[in-house]
Amino acid sequence: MSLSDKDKAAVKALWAKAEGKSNEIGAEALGRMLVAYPQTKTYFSHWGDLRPQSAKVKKHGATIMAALGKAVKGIDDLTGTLSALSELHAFKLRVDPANFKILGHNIILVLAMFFPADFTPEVHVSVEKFLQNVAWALSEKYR
Amino acid sequence: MVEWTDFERATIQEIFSKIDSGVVGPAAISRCLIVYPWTQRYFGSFGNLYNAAAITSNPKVAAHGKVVIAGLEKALKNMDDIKNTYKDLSVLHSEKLRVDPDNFNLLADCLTIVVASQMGQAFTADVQAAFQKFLAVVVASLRKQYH
Repeated sequence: MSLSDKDKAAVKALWAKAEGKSNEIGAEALGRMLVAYPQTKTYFSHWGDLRPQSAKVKKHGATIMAALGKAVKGIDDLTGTLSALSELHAFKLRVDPANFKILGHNIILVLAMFFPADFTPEVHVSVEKFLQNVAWALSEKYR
Repeated sequence: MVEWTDFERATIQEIFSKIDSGVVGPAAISRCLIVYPWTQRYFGSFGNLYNAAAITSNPKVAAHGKVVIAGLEKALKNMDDIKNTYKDLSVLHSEKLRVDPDNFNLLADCLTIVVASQMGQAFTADVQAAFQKFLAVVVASLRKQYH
């Protein structure tokens, strides 16, 4: 389900609004995922404190959102833009790609909470397609 | 049998008492039909689903949203035996409506997002976990009679 020009425009417009809060959004999304989908905690057992407001969760949420910001800027070539990150996830982190969908759901949920008026169903479609394409690009190097 | 903690029972009851069910049901169904357009295949008799505006203002979609919430409220009243409470509904969805059960997860996700945007900060991570567990049990019960 590739991104139309309309999708790209919608993603860029929402990101322009959300960028200022991106650290908060990332921390919220990651924190929620660890609580609502406990199986995802298995990737972070070395962190110790996995509660939503812990320092490591907040920091990593910000890291993820920074990477998403890069993806928005490189939306015309997600595979190229995310190539290094794909290698990282494939060979070092070895995160099961099914989890990309889970994190995506939580990012969408937090966006809907923070921007209820802007996150219309039409914007939702475009953002979800974008995150799906990001997940696909991240999975590129797996096998 | 599903084990519910006191927190989960109380939280799920509270969610349904807090949300405007007349709004949430229609909003969740229309979001589902817009975000996952292939789900429109089950609503051929609903008339104009041509674009987002048409779906959002379609009275049959809105009415069906309320039907779905009423179904969830049935589960809410019978939390210790949702599986049996939903036996007939499961047969209906499987044999008459012939809905691919993977679609239940799509609607569940849309419901979660709509409830989250209505409840705002009150929809904490723990509340989200409880609500998603409830919906997971509902979905599993709806899948039960498929064969």
